[in-house]
Amino acid sequence: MMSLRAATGFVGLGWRRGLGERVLIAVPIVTYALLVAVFSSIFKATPLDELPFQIRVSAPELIWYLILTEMITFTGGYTFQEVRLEVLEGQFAASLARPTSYFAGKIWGWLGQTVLRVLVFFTAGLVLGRFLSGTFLDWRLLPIALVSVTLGAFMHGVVYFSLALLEVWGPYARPAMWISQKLCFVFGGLLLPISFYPGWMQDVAWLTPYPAILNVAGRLALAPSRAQLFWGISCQLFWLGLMILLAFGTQHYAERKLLATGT
Amino acid sequence: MRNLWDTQQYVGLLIRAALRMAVADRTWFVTMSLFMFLQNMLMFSIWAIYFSRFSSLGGWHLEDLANLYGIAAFAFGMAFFLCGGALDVGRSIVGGELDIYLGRPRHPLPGLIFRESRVAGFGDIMTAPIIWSLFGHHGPGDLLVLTLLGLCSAMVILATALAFNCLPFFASESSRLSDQLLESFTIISSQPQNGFPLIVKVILMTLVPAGFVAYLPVEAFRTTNLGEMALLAGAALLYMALAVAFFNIGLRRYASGNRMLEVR
Repeated sequence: MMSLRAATGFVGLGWRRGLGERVLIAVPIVTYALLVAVFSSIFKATPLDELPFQIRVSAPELIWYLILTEMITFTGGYTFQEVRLEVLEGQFAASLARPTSYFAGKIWGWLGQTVLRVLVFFTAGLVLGRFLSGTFLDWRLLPIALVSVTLGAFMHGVVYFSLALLEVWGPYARPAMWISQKLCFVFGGLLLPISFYPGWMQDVAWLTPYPAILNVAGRLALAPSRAQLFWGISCQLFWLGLMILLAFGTQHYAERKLLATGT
Repeated sequence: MRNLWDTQQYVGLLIRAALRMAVADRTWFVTMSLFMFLQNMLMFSIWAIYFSRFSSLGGWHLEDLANLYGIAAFAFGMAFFLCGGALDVGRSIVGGELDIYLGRPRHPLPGLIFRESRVAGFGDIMTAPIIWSLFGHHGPGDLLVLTLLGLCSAMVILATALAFNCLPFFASESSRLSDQLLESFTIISSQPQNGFPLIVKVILMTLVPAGFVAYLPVEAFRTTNLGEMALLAGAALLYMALAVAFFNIGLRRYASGNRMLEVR
């Protein structure tokens, strides 16, 4: 088990790494802004009055929904390439000689980096949302939105960790990531809330971790009840715990494979 | 004239060599293509869900989105299946690998961009006719027009990728920035750009030519506007010429990576 001091050190390291990538974060922010602008035009041109009464939403609500879900994909997806390259370059194998677990070091570092990225994107998202929707997200929801987005982004990163480690068994990480990413976009409700989907698809979606990554945070823009808020955060914590266990499991088997075959 | 024929032969040989290398491992080739195809279909399913709820999007229907998505997939697939090396030009500049191509008796650009084929691009290419036929309900005549429009888009994409990858000539630490810019370009260009203000449309048709990749071809196809189709073809040639000029300007600033004697 990693000591609290070491964990804090890794969090600080991740935060500083994030600070060091100021220029590299500028391009994703511009892309994020452009993408949200593209879809805000689409939502404004969408005949939303065709929706059934029970799931009816307004264009500004959908814009805020997208601002929150897209924010997660932009803030949590950077871990895949980092881990995949470390596997390919032998740094993962080299980590076997270290006294701390590779994943434990990574996860704390990412926490620091993710919190910083979320803070930057959240600020940009608030400005963008006000400008594009003409409304503002309920200020009472801001702290919980920040927590929910951070949890979603962090979970996104943890899922990518397990996928990137597949590279230990062969060149399967990239195709697996493509599929997982697109399943996340569909079942997580990246562009449209899951409540818009046909009933069977909603049922399938909620059996996967993807709604906990994206939809839970996005739903904060759709005037959720207090019970929904509580349920949403609980759902995120449950899936995060499960994904962390899965990541430790994948790492365990990857290490065993390396120790058995040497490559 | 003879020069042109000579260059064509040279490029043909480079492409053939890259494609042979790409399909050498059949399992890998099929797996990557299949997964790329699957991810494209998954992404498109979001639009199928959208149009199951809404009748239209600013006059566009699922068929138009199928055209847009198909053209974008075909164009990106063609560009990088045939010219996968364009994605690595930036890294070659930073790593000094460009020296190897400068040592050859030809212009280094064809050697650089045709040296590799991205196998996943084949999955992208395969996505297009399936989406066009299944969701766009097009016959062979339409498919031919869409393919031609897609080829023009592929040239725009290749030119943009090349231009972004020339940035390391001017700032050596910008090869990651090139990747990010291209990723952003990919994301933006494969989305419908309906309802944009004029200024944004102007930017997307000039500085960042994302509008030429899928939006303009689909609009030209929808309205059978020959003028717009000609504009697309002209833009493809112009952007390619600009990208080559940008590469040549950058090349003058290039300092050797000291790998001139490496032979490949």
